Amino acid sequence: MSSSHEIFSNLQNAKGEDIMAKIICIDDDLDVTEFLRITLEAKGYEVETAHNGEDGYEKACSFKPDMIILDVMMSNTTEGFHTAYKFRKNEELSLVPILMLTSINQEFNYNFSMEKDGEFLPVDDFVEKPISSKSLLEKTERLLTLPKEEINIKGIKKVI
Amino acid sequence: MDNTSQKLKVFVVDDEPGICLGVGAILRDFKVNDQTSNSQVEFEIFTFNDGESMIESLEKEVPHLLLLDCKLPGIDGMEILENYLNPENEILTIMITAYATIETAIKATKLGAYDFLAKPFTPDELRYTVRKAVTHIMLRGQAKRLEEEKKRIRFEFIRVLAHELKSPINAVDGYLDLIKNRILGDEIEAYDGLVEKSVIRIDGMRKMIGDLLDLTRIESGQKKRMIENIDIIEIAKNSIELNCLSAEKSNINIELFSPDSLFMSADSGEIQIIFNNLISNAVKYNIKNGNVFIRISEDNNLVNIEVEDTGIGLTSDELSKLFNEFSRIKNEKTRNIQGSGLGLSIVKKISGLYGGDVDCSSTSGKGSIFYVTLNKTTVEGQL
Repeated sequence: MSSSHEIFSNLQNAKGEDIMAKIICIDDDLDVTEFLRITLEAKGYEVETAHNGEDGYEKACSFKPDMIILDVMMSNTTEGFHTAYKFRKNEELSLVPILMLTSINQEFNYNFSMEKDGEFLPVDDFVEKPISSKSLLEKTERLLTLPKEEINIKGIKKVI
Repeated sequence: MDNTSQKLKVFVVDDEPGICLGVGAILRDFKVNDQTSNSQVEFEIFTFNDGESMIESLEKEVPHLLLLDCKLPGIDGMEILENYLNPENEILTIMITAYATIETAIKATKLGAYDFLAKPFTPDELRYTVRKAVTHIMLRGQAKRLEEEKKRIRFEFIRVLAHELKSPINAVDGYLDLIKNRILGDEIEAYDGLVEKSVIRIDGMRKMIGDLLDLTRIESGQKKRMIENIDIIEIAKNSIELNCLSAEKSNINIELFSPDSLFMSADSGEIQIIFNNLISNAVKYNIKNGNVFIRISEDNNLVNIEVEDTGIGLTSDELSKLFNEFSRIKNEKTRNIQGSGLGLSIVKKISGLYGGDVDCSSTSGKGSIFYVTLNKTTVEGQL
């Protein structure tokens, strides 16, 4: 993959010109958000970062991202889950695709998958750490082009 | 006393209906105070006139306590003890025996019986024996709970440790991926920042492993302690020097208020760890142009160490978690600061070795003062 690679985004402004998709990355590890920022900016995406769920939520409200990348374990083991629910309950952000970062598979001997966990977690895909830039970009591209009616809101309906 | 009560199931097996009736009547009204949970123990009695019917009942229900007659018409007590009691059930057995010979006692004990009750017995003898058995059951239960709690804490420690060690690996992995895929183009200088950041994470990880080894050595008593008469002022000065460089970077002033020398019997390595941790924290969590004040004084047999900073301080919620393992205070102000999350729990453990303790008072946004007290003369010992 070279840096001159085309930017994948289906977003267009009112004049029909391509505009950069906006992505917010929320992870308490500064080096992880730095990795995400560099990878995504190199492909032309506009990136905002935050380091806890609350800050990420607030920043997202003004940044109005087209996609959210969200870590699970921050100040507590489930902060990412709670933050995902919060996004889905926000009128403006409820249909923004969420890519969840997990690093807890080995620790809890648990593998996240959309089939099992999409039922109760309102997220649209998972990436296990360590993240490869290749799979990050592939999943980002897929989620950014995901039709709104396919956004996973199953979990949220069950919880509310 | 607590009003809660718990019921223990008691099986009574005796071919004399009078014994079954009598034991049932006495134990139904009997209550034992359980010291481990401060509650009352009552009894639920099931009686059997032969071994076979009791064994059949075992399939559905397992008693806590079994009062078992040695001589029974069919399968006798010894045989039940030997072949029908699953050790995993942990049934406590009291043998009822008419001929309390040494031989039967030895044999029954070998087969796992807990106690004996010689026929004929008085109600008080029965109550005494049962009370003893109940105490045993309760203590065993408590020991088991403590053991499980210990296992849980250990698992939790390892789980958190694994997470803390994986985070820097994930970070470095990410940066290597960016370099490998030339995400920032072909100019090698573009990657200098990523290399620098990777080195910082690896250093942090090395420090964590070092701290972890210190901690386990102290905890397990494997660290060979060299108790000597040492001047702790000298150690404090060395530690200040060690932290000078990082203090200068933020123009932080470190001042020491102490007598010229202060001798105590201690392991110099341990005292060094205390000073290094407290002073490096005071520098790390300080503000630009801040101050660190170190005060060392003696009070009879006690040495008092105070390390004050003018840094970011702690909220009362953060204070309560401060000395726990891996409790790094994560907020916007600390997110650029590297730390293992083990330093203060190590300081606490070492202080304990000197019959002392560590404490902290802090005002969020203003700064913190850490207090360590140490006994000048401590018998060499473990925690």
